[in-house]
Amino acid sequence: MGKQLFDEVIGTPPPSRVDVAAIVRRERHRRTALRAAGAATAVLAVVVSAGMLQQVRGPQSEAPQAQASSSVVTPHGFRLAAEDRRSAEATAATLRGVLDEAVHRVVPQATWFRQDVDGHPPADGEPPVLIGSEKTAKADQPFAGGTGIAATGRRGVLTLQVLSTRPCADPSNPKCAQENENPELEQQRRDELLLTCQPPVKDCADGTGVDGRRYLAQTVPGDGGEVTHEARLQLADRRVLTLRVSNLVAAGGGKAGVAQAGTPVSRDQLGEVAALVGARILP
Amino acid sequence: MTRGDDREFHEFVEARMDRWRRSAYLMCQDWHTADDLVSIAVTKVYRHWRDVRRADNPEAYAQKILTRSWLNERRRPWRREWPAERLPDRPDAVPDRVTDRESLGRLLQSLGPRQRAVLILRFYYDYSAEQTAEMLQVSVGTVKSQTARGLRTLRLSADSLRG
Repeated sequence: MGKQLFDEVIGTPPPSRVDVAAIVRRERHRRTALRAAGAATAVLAVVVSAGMLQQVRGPQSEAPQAQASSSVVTPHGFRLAAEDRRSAEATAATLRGVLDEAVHRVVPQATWFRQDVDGHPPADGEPPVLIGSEKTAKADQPFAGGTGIAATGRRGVLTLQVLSTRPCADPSNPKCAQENENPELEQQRRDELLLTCQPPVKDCADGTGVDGRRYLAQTVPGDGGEVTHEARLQLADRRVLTLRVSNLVAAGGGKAGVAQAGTPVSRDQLGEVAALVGARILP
Repeated sequence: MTRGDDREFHEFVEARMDRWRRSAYLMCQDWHTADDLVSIAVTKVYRHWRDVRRADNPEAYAQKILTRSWLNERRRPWRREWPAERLPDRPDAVPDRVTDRESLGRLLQSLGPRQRAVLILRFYYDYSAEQTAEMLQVSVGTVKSQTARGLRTLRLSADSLRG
């Protein structure tokens, strides 16, 4: 196998789309923003500490209601926007905060611990780092991530995925031609595949909620006592949110093994978390 | 990053851009994705510029970043394929020579991502088994076995293409 063969595969490269100047500009902005965020966090820490100090000192002060929170989540809903990289990252960060909040509302004692699910492991105590992609067509952008979760003495991994069931929309892509003959039918077929119980999984329930959105909850047993609960929910923008929790834990970057018989979050709890997250996502 | 660092970074990237694009294309066989991968790698090289500069072999360090970026991208959920009821059509014409550009591309695509990366690093860029192992963060034995398996798969695929 020679270099010439590889060069034949490569052919003549088209003009490069790699914009090094833009990358450097974006990275400089990012660094500036990180520095600013670091300064803001320090100020917030001082304010919260001062507030706590006042509380300890006595009743003459009005006790501040500040709560330590790593994520700022608006009380109303948000769109899964990902028009560009910055927007995708902002949405992923909001979704991360919403997931964290929902998990702790349903399982107050839950704690996160570091597990490398997709090459972006968060630190211990931090919720999953969710990655959004702006590279696919608008309204199709997926979001995904996961990390370790512990509750009631059990440990496992919790992952989140948002996927589109829309057929590919690029008419210049020959692979899309067949799907585009009847995109609605194709999307229905994909919805069926994701949101209807499939025969191989015995412990499964699907249906339509009072809000008209479809859901599916299933338990998939694996080898050697592995258990995975899965909750899928059709979102307002017709994408599908999937939450999974397993009883698998990887130690020291090695192969994942069963931590205990049960999962740290039950299937019903996972469904509640999915409902809370899904309720915040706007069309 | 100082202005001197900045200039050095730009020179480093410019000198290797063609090489990285070729390497990325061999891995993913799509120029659009290849440029995305190179952009990701350039971003990472910029973030870790001091480490790259200090490395014994900055060239290999940057190549490692690019290769690992591709392998990581492949693991993302949206890169996984949808289940299909129908298999794609077979090619209309069976190439009579496996040195045809398209047939070579198909042969490479028949390999797993890591095997493909091993063959590209070893046979296109002449990295040693040790260097390749370091880049892919696997053992030298794994590189050797992946090389042997990759070559065997290529030979089998080439035979089947020839009919």
